Amino acid sequence: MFDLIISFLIGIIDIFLIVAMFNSKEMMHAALFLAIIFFMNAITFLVLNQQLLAVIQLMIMVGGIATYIFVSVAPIKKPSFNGTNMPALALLSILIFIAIAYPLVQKGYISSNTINYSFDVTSMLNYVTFNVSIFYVIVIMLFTSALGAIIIMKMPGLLE
Amino acid sequence: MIVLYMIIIGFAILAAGISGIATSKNFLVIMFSIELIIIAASLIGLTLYSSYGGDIILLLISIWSIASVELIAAIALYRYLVKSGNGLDVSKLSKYKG
Repeated sequence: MFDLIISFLIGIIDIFLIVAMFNSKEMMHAALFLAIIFFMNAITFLVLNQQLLAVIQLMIMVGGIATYIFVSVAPIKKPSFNGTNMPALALLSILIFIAIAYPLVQKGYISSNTINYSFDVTSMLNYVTFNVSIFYVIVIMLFTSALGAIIIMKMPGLLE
Repeated sequence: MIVLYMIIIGFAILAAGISGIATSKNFLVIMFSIELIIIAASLIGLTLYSSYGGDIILLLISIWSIASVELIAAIALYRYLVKSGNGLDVSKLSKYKG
């Protein structure tokens, strides 16, 4: 039951983050929302009992790709044109989602003949062993270093 | 049941990514949409492989490599776009034709 609640929450948060990402005027904010989406994706890996892959996903996506995106988009000023057509985006997203998901769910391709996951808070904490937690610390340090560097870079008059 | 939930989350992210490419004019937002498609692919792949058995590692390594290479190429292209004075509007890319 706990895993269903977690996955439901992740889905809701993901949708909010995606909307916020497309709606952001500042590219830095959009990049930050994308980084949080990467983080949520790593949590879904954890829910699927793939703790090592979750750490690697976190290292590559948040520690590597999101950090690189941050450094790259930091000098960009706010774009003058309207970037995304939000009503068209919402409509097209819903249509594509129905077109993909409906046949799969309706015809029962995802049957109940699958591995049953047992996921709770205790098992989640058991995944975070000492060896694995080092990688989490590395990812957090990389990401916060990039954030801190960009905040310093953006401060007016600090580097002059 | 959790498999169905994860697949549906993956499809929702995939649909948002495809729609983002189709409806956005900002080069960076299109790049972020491609990243969304990539993480949706990794999520759906991992869910199906871990449910029905199989080895996902090679597929995930491929996805991560594609994500990194795509990002590096896109950032290089976007630096070129900004430097040439056309900004991030992809509708102006036709200037480079020929």
